Amino acid sequence: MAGLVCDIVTPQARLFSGDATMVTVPGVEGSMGFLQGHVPLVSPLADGMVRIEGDTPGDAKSFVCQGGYVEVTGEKVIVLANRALRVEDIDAASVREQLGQYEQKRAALSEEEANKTTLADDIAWCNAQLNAVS
Amino acid sequence: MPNLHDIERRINSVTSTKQITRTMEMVAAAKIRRATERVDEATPFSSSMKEMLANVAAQSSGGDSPLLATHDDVKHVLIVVVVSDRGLAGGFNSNVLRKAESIMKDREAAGAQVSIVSCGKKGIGYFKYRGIKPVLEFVDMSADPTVEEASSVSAYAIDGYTNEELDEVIVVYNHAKNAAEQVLTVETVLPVDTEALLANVAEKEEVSEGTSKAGFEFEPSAGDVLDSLLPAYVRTTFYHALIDSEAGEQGARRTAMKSATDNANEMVETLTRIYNRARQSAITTEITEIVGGAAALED
Repeated sequence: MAGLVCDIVTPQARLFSGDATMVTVPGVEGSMGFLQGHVPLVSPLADGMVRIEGDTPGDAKSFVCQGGYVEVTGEKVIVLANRALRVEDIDAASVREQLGQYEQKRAALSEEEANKTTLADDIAWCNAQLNAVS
Repeated sequence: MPNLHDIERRINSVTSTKQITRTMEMVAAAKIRRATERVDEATPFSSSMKEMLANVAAQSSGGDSPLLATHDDVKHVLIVVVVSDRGLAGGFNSNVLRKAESIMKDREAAGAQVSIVSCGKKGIGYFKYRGIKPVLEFVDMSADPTVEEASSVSAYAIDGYTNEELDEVIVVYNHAKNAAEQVLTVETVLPVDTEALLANVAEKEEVSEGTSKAGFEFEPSAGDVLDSLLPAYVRTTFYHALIDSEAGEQGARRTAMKSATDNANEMVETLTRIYNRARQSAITTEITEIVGGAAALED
């Protein structure tokens, strides 16, 4: 039986909502796994993979997430990610292309100007996606 | 009495204006749905964020984050005005702008310096005309606001606040209560008022379930979590204001265009009546003349 309810939400949309037996998230201080009855916990997240294990073995879903927070109560896990995507939906070729564009843009700007843009985040997001598929 | 041709021309002109307003009404109606969906999709994030922040703040007992501290002396106020890029939306923009200006007057009377961040073309024009240059301006985004824009506003606000260059940050926008109604909303974003958040969450908790909120663990520590959660909260608030305002804009435009179409219909009706009356009287005059002429010949 599924012991946990897991939600993954981003500012744009609710990406996933459903039952799970175990949820693994990339905390800032290392990966954490949650089972039913976990102590209530709040932690910021690093970039990386969120894994949701379903009822049956092999029924697992993976999401790549950038930044955000996780909130756990005994039976509910809420992942608030700044950006998130299902691993199956990643298109490695187009991500690589975008990464190239972002890096070009950044190279064209001075460091101070680059700090004003979100390019650093964009590049980190591309890298996170590529890590997830490779 | 205007001549027949003039009236006919006016009828044509009103009819073509009506076509435009009707089309705009329908376009806005279609956009409302998309915009409202977007607000609905973003709501779980921002409400979870608020709840989490309230929980964290409750446990770290205030904390010493600079974003929570109220500055005793309010000298610099930042007003973030969220309006649209295009007009023809009734009082949508002017309500926000007038409110923003009155807040500005209030704060200036209290001896504070006010700067403006304008999201949307209409705000820029309004404030430039009054000799105020917005410190940050965003155009061509009201139709499609993104998280990035919200991030740059919040980065500016947070930087200013932590460096004590700003003492208060207020956002003024239209909240789309439903498709037909917009509510002018003024929110103080910084300093973050955790007590209000707590009260808000506590209210909801009572309705849903009576779970005890104490006993949360934090990794690395409550203070650290709070420090990173606060900027994210500010960003979410701005993003939410932007998309909420977009939904409101479409709603306001639909209402405005609907009444414009109704007015045009009424006007066409009146003009047609006048036209017919003028035509009738012209015919009557003509007949009288013919009859008069024939009678003169008979004699």
